[in-house]
Amino acid sequence: MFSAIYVEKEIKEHPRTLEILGRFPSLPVIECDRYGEVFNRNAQNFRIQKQLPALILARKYGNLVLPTPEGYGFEGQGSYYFSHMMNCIYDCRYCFLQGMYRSSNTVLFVNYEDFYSDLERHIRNTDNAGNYYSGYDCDSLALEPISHFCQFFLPLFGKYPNAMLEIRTKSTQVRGLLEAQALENVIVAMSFASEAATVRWEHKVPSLKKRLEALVKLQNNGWPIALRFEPIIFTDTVLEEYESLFKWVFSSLNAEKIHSVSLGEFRMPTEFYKNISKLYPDEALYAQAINVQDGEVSLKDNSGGATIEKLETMLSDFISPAQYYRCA
Amino acid sequence: MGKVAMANFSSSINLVVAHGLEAKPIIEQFGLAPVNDGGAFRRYQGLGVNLVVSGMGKVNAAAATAYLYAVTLNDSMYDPIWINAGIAGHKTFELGCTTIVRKITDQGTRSSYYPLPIPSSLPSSVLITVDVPEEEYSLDAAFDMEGSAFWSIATKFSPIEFVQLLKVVSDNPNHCIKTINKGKIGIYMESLAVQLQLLAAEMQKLASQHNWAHSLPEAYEKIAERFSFTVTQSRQLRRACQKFRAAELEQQLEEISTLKFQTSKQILAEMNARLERFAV
Repeated sequence: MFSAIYVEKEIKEHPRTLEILGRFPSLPVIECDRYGEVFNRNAQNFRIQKQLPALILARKYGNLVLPTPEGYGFEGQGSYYFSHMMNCIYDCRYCFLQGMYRSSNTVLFVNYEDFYSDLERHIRNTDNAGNYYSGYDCDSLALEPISHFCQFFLPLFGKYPNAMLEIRTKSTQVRGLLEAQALENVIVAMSFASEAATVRWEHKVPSLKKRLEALVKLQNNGWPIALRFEPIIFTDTVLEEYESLFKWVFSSLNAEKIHSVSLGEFRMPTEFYKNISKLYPDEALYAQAINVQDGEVSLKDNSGGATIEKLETMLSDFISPAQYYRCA
Repeated sequence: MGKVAMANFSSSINLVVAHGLEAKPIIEQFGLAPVNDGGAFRRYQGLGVNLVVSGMGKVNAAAATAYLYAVTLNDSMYDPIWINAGIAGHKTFELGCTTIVRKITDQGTRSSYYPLPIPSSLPSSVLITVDVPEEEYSLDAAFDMEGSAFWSIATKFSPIEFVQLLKVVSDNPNHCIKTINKGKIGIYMESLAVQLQLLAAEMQKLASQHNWAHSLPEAYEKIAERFSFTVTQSRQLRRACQKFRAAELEQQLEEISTLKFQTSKQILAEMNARLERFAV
């Protein structure tokens, strides 16, 4: 999985560091002063590195819990995100992280206790409530056997039932959740793309079948689940592909009990798009015509338009309007 | 001489070695021949491989790395692979042990650099680049006099993933630096040269994939020769050609290359119009 482990000098004796290093006794361990020396340096090539990614264990300073970007997630009470990790072990060709980070190494911040304190402070400042998102800069569960993220953070949300945590993932590492008492305010949001898009653009990611199986188990165990159909990539057959995906997914889940369902088209900041296009000049996705508006790139819909609206109509056969939102 | 695409998408392998004695076994291993161009540094060349003898110390290493880049710049359209190879002291490793460098620290500036952790069966090491020979072996690390400078310059010319350092232990606390002689250097470097070839092959795999992804369809050359493109238009042409390849529309690109256009602007417009219609 990893080619080496970089460890910040400051946390080299941290119990979480020692435990993780113990899991990878044969990997080279390289000490660094700050993770940025490895992660943020110039002249790195994300794509080449992705073939030999390393794990970086570090301590996160500064603001650990941040307001979500406009249009992210649910409307209403205060919305925040936090990232105990940066980057993702999966390799989805459409992913904006490829354009956002210079490095494809995964950073895991081991100072969970500081995240916990900052999260609790925000919850208290939001009348013991608020929406909290994990998985914006990473896949929250993909490294669960190593990170034990759920084990550490779930009790906090058990303590504040009006604070909502969304765990965004494509991972099937749900054992920790299945062994824990289900919490009504912790939602596991699984991302899905059509079968064709998955095969073409989602590399090293659990299959759709395995993702759905994981969701079914979670739902059967009382965990609120959510579906994230994104990014929708406009192809000539996108409607047929998603019609088939919706039928298959909703035939296995109790639709009424699904916390929420969202759709979002492929889009990302122009700068990220430019960076990724340079990394993957041989990728057809980045040869498709684009729209650029307000600093964001989206794909031109050559199918006659209104694809998202048509998909929304399809979804309305399975869920109520209250369960749905469109990603801005 | 214009840049020529290498059919197999390989990068040149540029080797920077401090001393002629260190270079000799590598020259033999790679079958290199001297290049007598009267240049500032002794240089050797073989099929896809260049070697420069830098002389000792950071200034020489930096200058020789830049020199090698300058004199080989037009040999290939791809970024070269860079490897600094040579002897080093080490606090704990046995004499003759070849080690791959995972971290370089410049003792003078305290700056550290991290090569890609490429898979290797060799023991890995931190390398500390010093200004004067290290006789104290103060840290559990390898010590040399060129590594950090080589890294700083080589990474200006290639992605950092294309730059590595390979060292063989020539002295340690039990066998001080004064015990090194020509014969020992030859033996140590022979052993390093074998590992160097393996490392170069491993790096070449990464480089070739990268180069293939960034290569241009044949029609690009035809179009580029037909019109005079501005710098911006050249960039647009290259990217458009890559898009045609990515979209598996190379046949259309071939067709465009044979059509009649009056200006470079017109041909770019036609290419863009066709790409506008493409959907994945």
